[in-house]
Amino acid sequence: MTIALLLGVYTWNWRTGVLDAIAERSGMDMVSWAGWPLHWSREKVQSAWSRYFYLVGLRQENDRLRSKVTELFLQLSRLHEEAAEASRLRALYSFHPVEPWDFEGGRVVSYRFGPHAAVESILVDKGTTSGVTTNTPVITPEGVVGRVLRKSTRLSQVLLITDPNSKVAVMSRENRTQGILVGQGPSAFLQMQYVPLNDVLEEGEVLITSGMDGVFPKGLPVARIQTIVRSSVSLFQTVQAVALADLRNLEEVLMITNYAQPDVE
Amino acid sequence: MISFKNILARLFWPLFLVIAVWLQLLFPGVDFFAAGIMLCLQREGAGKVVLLTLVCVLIQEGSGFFAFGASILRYGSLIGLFLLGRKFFEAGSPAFILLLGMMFSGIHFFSMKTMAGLQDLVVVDHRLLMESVLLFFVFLSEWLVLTKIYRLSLAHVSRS
Repeated sequence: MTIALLLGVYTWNWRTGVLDAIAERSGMDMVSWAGWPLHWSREKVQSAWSRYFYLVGLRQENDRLRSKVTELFLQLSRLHEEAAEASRLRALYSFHPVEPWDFEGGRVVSYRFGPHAAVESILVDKGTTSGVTTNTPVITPEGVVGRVLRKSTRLSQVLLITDPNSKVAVMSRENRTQGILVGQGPSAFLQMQYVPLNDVLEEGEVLITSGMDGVFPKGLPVARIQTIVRSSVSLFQTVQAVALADLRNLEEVLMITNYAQPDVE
Repeated sequence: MISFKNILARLFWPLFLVIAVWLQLLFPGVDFFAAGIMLCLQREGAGKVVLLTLVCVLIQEGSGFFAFGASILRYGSLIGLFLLGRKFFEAGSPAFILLLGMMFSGIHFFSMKTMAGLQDLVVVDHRLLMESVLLFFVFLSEWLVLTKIYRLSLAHVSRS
């Protein structure tokens, strides 16, 4: 009797999503309120640490950053030229330019919160009040982190690209070979699937989002190819890659809040 | 005049919820609410048990990835096992809690597998197994600590 009732409620909720919506809104907000003093004190301790104790080695860090800035300036001047050329060509072929993305910075509050987080996920302190919706892409300057699966007003759950349930449409940056990047679990390689044997790929090549999945905008770096195996018994190459973002030590992330899949007409 | 013990009595369960949330934020994939529900079943009336379970269900369901029902299955089984086991064992005995903890960690493993299967989600089996074993130890040790604190601070106002 109880099992039948539970199954009935589960099926009804599966179709309507009413209970999920209530739990998503109230449960995550409760976590946000209850967790606030913990984040606040952690932030204060961290800022005190960085202000007073972490100054050791600042000069070396400064020198290293100065040389990095010089290197980036050189790269920037070259890219300015290429961007100007791209704009001219775009105008020539009447392409619509891509809208600039709006970023919302968020702090990682927790990694796999609670016993129901059976998937690789993080909890970020930005929710619907900051413009976050389901499937909002989450990135770091190094590469893609994942996408938002559930959200409340002040928190959101992000599915990491290393989870076996995550699938990202990607292509290689140099050879433009397309495939689907699938997670294999924590501390395992990512796998690029459905790459035909004849398609060109190189080890060390960077994989970027292709934009074909309608979730991630085109051109975001995701992973670097580690190994490629071309087996004679399979129609596809076995491609293993490593995520560019350090997903095990995430502290802050960026959420692209204004990306909408372009209309296909 | 309101005494310190009375304030503690009023704040015990809200404080428990806040600290359990903190612990869940700090330790990935672990349930810190179950031991509290168990203690509430042993020491408090039905109203408080229902209210506490409802808040725990909302928190776990809202922040988890499964469709609504996984925590009802888990906490419902825990409450059901407690009510059933109370007929055969002394409700406060450590042996009963040990047995209940073992069964609860088994229920956790199978309910997570079932819910993941229903939603076509892939879960990493060996990690789920490890977390189920960890849940057993967390459940036992947390129950011991909570019982101690409860006895020290709230014994005079509790129902039993």
